[in-house]
This record gives sequence, C-alpha cells and structure tokens, in this order.
Amino acid sequence: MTKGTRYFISAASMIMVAGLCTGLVAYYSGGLPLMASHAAGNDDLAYVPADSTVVAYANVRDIMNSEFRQKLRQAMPTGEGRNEFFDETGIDLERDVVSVVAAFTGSPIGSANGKDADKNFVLLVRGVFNPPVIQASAVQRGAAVSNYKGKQVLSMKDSGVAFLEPGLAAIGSQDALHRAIDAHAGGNVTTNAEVMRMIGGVDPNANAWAVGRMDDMQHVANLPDQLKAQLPAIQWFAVTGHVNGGVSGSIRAEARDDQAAENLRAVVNGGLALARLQMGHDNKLDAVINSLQMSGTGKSVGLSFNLPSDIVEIITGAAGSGIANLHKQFR
Amino acid sequence: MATPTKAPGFLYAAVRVFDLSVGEMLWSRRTIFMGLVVGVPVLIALIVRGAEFLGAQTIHVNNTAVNGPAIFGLMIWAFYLRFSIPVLGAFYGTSLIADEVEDKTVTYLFTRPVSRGAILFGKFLAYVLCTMIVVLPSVTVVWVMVTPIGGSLGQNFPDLLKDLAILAAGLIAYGALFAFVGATFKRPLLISLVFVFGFEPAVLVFPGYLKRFTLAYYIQGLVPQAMPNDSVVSLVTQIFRETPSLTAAVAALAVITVVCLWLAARTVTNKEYVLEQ
Repeated sequence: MTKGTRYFISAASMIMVAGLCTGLVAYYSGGLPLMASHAAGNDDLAYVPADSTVVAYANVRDIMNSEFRQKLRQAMPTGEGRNEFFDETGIDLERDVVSVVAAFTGSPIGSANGKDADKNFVLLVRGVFNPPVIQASAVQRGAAVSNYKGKQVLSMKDSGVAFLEPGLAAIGSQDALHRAIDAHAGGNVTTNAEVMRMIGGVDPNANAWAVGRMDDMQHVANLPDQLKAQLPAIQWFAVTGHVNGGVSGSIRAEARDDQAAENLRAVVNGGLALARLQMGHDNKLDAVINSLQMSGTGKSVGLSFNLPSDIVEIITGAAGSGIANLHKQFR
Repeated sequence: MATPTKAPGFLYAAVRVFDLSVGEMLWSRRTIFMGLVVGVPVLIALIVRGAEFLGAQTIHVNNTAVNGPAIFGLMIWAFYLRFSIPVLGAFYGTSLIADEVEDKTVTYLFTRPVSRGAILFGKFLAYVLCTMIVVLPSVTVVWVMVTPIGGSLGQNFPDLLKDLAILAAGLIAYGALFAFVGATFKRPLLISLVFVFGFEPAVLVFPGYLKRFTLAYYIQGLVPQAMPNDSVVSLVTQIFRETPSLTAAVAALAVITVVCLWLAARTVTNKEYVLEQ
C-alpha cells in the first residue's frame, strides 16, 4: 500500500469517525451539548428527580415581555392568579421570575380527586429573590422554617418553598422539595436517558416546552374510554412553543411502533382535512388552520402551528360572543 | 541443497494480494466514477441544507412536512440502495479478474505460488475496502448535513448505524455475486447491469418465488419500513410484498456472499483464461 493510499484511507476514516462521534455524543447527551444547554435551563434540571414523568420549562421573562402577552393582558386583564401566587410565596411572577422548570413524578394528574397530584409536583423558579423577606412574610403567615441537607425549607399547610441556591427557589409539597434537594446530590433527570432524549429534541429557540410520558394519562378517571384506548399507542409527547409576536410551536408524539404512528398520522391528517373544510368564514382562523403542518417519520408524529398575534382577537372575540349569548339567554 | 520454502497460506496470500490491489483499485478511473456517484447525494445534501439556511419553505408531501430524517431516508433509498450499491458492485465486482484478463496480466498473477482462490479473495477484500471507504463517509456526511433539518441527530443516530450496516452488507453481497459473474461470463458488466436494472426491479414487483433470486429482496428485508411509497411501482410492490424476517435476510445475504465467493474462487481455479491476441 502506497503512502497516498494510506493517507486517503486515513482521511476517509477520520471523516466517518467524526460523523459517528458527533452522532454518538448527540445520542447520549440527548442532543449536541450546545443545543441541550440552550433548550433545557440545564442547571435547573439537576434538581429534577430522575423518575419525573413530565418536565416542563418556560422562559417567563421572555414570555412576559412578548408582544403576544401584552396584547393578551390588554384584552383580558386579570391579576388574581398572580396576586394569589405572590401572597403564597412572596414572588412576583412578572417582576422577579426569569424562568421556571416544573416536574411531575408519578401521575401529573394524580388520583381522580387531584389531591395526590400536589405531592408529585415541584416548581423550580429561577429569578431574583430576597429570601429573608420571603421567609419573614411566610413566618408571619404561619410557615415553619426547617433545614434539609443544608437548604432552608419554609413549610406551610400542604406546600412549601425551598431556597436551593442564590436565585433558585423550589415550590411544592415538603416531600417534593426534599426529593428535589436529594436529586441534586445524584439521581436527577439528567441521568434519565429517555427524558433527556426528548428534551434534546426540543427546538432550541423555544421559550417554553414540556416533555413527558403518556402512560400516566391512562390513569385519569375522567377521560372517555375511546380516548383511553388510544393512549397506550403513544409513549412520549413533547410540546414546544415560542412566544413573541404570536405563538408558534409544535406538538410531537412518539408512538409505540411504526404502525401506531402511521395510524396516528392518518387521524391527525383527517382532523386537519376536517378543519380545512370549515375554512372560508374567517380570514384569521383560516390563517391559523393553514399554519398547521404535520410531520414525522417512523414512530414520531409531529404537528406544528403558528398562531399570529391576531389570535388574541379571535380568542377574545369568541369569549366575548359566548358571554353575550349567555347574557341573552338568562336576561 | 536449499530447503524449499512452503507456499504461503490462503489468508496470508489474500492479505498480500489485498495490499497490492487496494492502491490499484483506489487510483483507477473507476474511482472517479465512484466519486461522482457518491458525490451527487453529498451535493444535494449541501443544496438542501443551504436552502433551509436561507429560509426556503418546507417541502410537503401528502400534507406532511418532509423533515431532515425523511429526506435522508429517501436519499439512502433512491441514491444508495437502489443505485450506487448495485452499480458499484457491478463495476468493481466484475472487474476483479476481468481487468487482469483485459490487461493481459492474469498470466503473471497466476504464476505466483499462491492459490487462485486467495488472489480472488484478496481482490475482493480490496474492493470491499475501496467502496466502503468512499461510500460510507459520504453517507455520514449526508446524514450530518440533512438530519438536523426538523430532526435530531441524537434521535436518528441508531438509524444511521442501521443504514451504514445495510449499505455495507449490500456492497459485500453485490460484490460477491458480481465477482462470480465476472469470473464466469464473457460480458460480465452487461449481464450485471441487466440483472440490477432489469431483472431485480421486474421480479420484485410481482408475487411469486422469483424474488428470492434477487439480492434487493433480502436487503429490503433488513429495513422494510425504509421503502417509500413514492411511485405506482412501489405501491404495487407494497401490495404484493412478502418481506423476509431480519434473521432470514441476514442469513440469506451471508449464504449468498459465501456461496458466490466460493463459486468464483472455484471458477477462477479451474478455468483456463485465453488471452485475446
């Protein structure tokens, strides 16, 4: 073998090895490192228990500052939820919060009465906090202060707040807070290859996303039986959204096998066709329907959407006419 | 009196022939053709990626957005499995011995104290290396460029490994078959091309046992879901398709490869090559 031949073989082998290594890193890290960190708020995932079935993230600062949110606020001003959250935790969602990561372990819905759901839920809030002020306010309302593995935990009736590190607080039941603190020491969701694989597939431009397993949805009592029968076919879901002027995003489902995915694609296509049959009455609604695009191969089924900022007017218009009709009926 | 040295063993001889043949094969005119054949999908991948980068609209087929992994699957099917692999197998496999005969160097080759079967096997190994070293990196480059369009490298990595394995199996099987054709028949390239572009596509469409005499039947069995519904022919094929199981497909390809190589070696050993004056 001549030198030239050896060089050629070496160069070709290196190209292939580089490609395979890229794929291998992407496979095991749930996406290339840059993308994974951008999509995940990855430091916060270190506090999410490894057995979490649903993990969600939202860049609250971006969403609150978005044009879409300003329009929504003008159209439907409400502050009750925000005030309630502030009263409970001392954290102002609009001012103090940069991002949130929510995680459910076990069933996100819980039992039929919804009580157990609280025990399975933890909310990690990253932002600007003043722990002494929050603590003082909580203690005034009857909270108990405790220490769990070096982290301060404020416990109220069924929930509590824990300050995990500067700028990061966790909210949830006491059990959930303890699990979040334990997760940081080891056994967090970053070691769960399946969940990280789904997170790795999230659009890095999304400012909100949620991934989770569908198995637990079967336990929800109030779903129709026909729908429950279809759910075993879907194993994973991922929802991503980018909120700026409008809302764009995608919903992706992973079926248990190619046949189930093929059937699901047929169902979604049918739904889209039905929606398109209704077109022609409202330009804005038509734009929404036209923005729906199906994609996916193999076991994956995806539906992307692009809601323009005008969607706020459609929502408020629909809500307003609904309320007006109710008034007419009961006058 | 000097002790006569033993003739080299089969494998040693094959490796020596492989060492000599790799350079010859790699720097031949056929490699330019092979470079063009595998360069086209790379160029197309570059164009697709460039178009996506410049903000081109997503392609839709049957109301479904075609993303990167789907495009990659189609390219593997259309460019590699249906064209490149059989054609490279035909061009290189038939020339293993035929080139030596045409160049009138076969006499010198066969006078060496090595078995003719070892010579054929060594050249076959050189063919496998030359084709894989060009085709598989090209597939990897296409995968890296195209898959991130609406898809994920990590999620599709197992598919890349499967496709690389299928392409390697295809190269080996077609090479072995056409090595036998090249060793046996007078116009091996013509026969091989008729087999690849005439016999195989025709037989695969219709039901019956004849499809078992094609390599494409077993290669398709390795990943049956990769077959796209892109034409009436594919649709008809899907209707009549009986796909072998993965184990059966792998076993059949292995048996075909071994049998064809054995037959080729036997033919080369027993045949008297008459050089045209």
